[in-house]
This record gives sequence, C-alpha cells and structure tokens, in this order.
Amino acid sequence: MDYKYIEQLIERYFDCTTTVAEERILKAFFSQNDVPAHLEQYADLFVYEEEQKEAEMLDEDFDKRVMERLEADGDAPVIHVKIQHLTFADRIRPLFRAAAAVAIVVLIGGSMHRAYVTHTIEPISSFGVGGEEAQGITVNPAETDNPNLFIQNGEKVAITVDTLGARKKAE
Amino acid sequence: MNEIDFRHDLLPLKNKLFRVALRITLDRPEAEDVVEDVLVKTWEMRHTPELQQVVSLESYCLTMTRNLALDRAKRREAQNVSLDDEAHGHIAEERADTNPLPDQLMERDEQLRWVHELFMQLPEKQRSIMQLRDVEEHSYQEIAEIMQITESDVKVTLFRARQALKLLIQKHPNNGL
Repeated sequence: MDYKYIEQLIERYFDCTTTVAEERILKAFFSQNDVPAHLEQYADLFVYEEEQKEAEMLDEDFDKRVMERLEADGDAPVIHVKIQHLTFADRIRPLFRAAAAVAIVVLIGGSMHRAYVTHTIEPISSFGVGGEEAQGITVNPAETDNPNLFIQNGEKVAITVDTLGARKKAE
Repeated sequence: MNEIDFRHDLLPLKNKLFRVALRITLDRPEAEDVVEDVLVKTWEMRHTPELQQVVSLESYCLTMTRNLALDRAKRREAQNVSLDDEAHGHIAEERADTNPLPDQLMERDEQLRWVHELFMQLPEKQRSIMQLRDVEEHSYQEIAEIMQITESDVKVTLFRARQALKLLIQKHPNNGL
C-alpha cells in the first residue's frame, strides 16, 4: 500500500500547515491497527490526541455541587418542568392506532382469503357457462397456486405479472 | 447572546473546560474548582452587558478558565516554593514533569504515558495551544481569541510545540520502551 498521502500529512502536520480536517484524518489513520512499521513511531502521539478528546470527565457529583452553590447564592437556574397527569386512557392511547391497524389487516386478510377459496372451488361452469358439467369441482386450496389449474377447470383467467411470477417460482 | 440556560449552555462545557484547566493546574481538584468558578461566575454575569455581547460562550468560558487556572498555578507556586528554588525559575514546569498522571489515563492506556509526559514537558503556552488545537480541534482564530494573543503568535507557538514533540518522538524510536 502507498502511504505517500499520510507521510505528506505528517510532514505538513509538524510544519503546522494541515487543517483541522486533515489532522482528523491523521488521528483516524493512526487509530486503526494497520499502521506500517516506518510510521509507527508517530502512532502514540495521534492516538493520545484522539483519546484526550474524551478524557477527564467531570461526574454528576460535580453538577450537584455547582447546583448547590448556585442555590446557596440564591441564584439557581429555574428548571422548567411540565407536569402532566396521565390517565390510563392517555397512557394506552398510542396503542390505539397500532390496534386499529392490526384489526384492519386481520379483517381484510380474512375476507380476502375467504373470497379466494370460494372463487377457486367454484368453476365457471357453475354459473351455467359450462353446460353439462354444472357440478362443483373440489379443489384442494393448496393447489390453487398453480395458475394452470384455472384453465384446466375451464375458468377464465387473466395472466398477470403476479401469476407468471408465481409460476416461475413453482418451476 | 440570547438568554443563557445553565443546563443547556453552560454545564455541557464542563469537560472541555476541565481538560483545558488541568493542562495548566496539573492538579485535578484545582482544575475542578476552576471549572466550578467559571460556570458560576458566567452564570451570575448572564445579564451584564459584557456577556450580552459575547459571540461564543464557549470561547468566553475557555478564556476565563485559562486565566483562573493560571492565577491558581501562580498562587500555588508562590505558596509552595522556597526562595532558593525560586532562584532557578521555571518551577512550575519542573513540577509538571514529576506530577503524577491522572489515574484515568494510566488505567486506560499505559502505553500512552510517555506521550502524556512529552505533552506535560512543554511550557504552559505550548501545552495549552496543543490542547486547544490537537485535542479540542479549534481554529487558529478561535485559539487566538481564547488565549488573547495574535493568530501568528498561535501559529509560531504551535510550530515550536510540534517540532519539539517531533524531535522527542524521533529520539525515542521504540516509543520510549
């Protein structure tokens, strides 16, 4: 791999001609594990700089102490808190929409399934088109995926992308 | 500057201010006190014309942090140093060299200790500029504003600091091991 760009950046870093963005590239480069041997001597410097960004945290005890001092001075910042009383209905309100969506899917799904099954087990002849073969044919609903079945049963069928797709899949 | 909110505008600056203060005081409790003072003072001044004119609250707080930290470092130096030592000068810098590392850093990465020591060997001005540029990623202009010096002074000082580090790094090709 060619490290010319990084080498150039390092040189410019020490000459103070790099931008903050370029210095970030250096930090990112040296933070990964794949540093070539000849550049390794610089790794610790950039890793250290990167790590120091998140170093030396002041904890919540500090916050508490400062707040107490402000309160003691009688100049505590006002904290705006909105108090809302939630009834049980308010709490479950977000669930209403989800429940409604589920109900719609179940209802539509159920009625579509029924319509589909009813349709497939009643050949077109049952409407008087087929003449003598007026009795219904029992069709295993599991076989109704086969689009040829409609034709075999003398039904009119529209070939759509969907049905072709289903056929392709079956093959 | 609009109305200052303590929790949203001032308190989130605490870690950055602390890191900058620590580079100067080299002492955690002292740095913590500095940050506390800066936050409280800035808050108390929020309605003054001086603060109303402030463009960057962060820069303003950083300037105050550095000034208060320098005051404390000076005061401590005056308290702790005998007349004999004072004759040698640069006492603060010598103290910096032997000062123990922050525990957090030692635990996190023993390997980076030597770089930390290199950083701490730099004079305060170089150290603060290195912190503001290489760690906090401020522009030269912002650093000049924070440290109340000219931009070219920032550049020259940063150049010296980086060159010094380069030399020290190249002297220790095995990372000081």
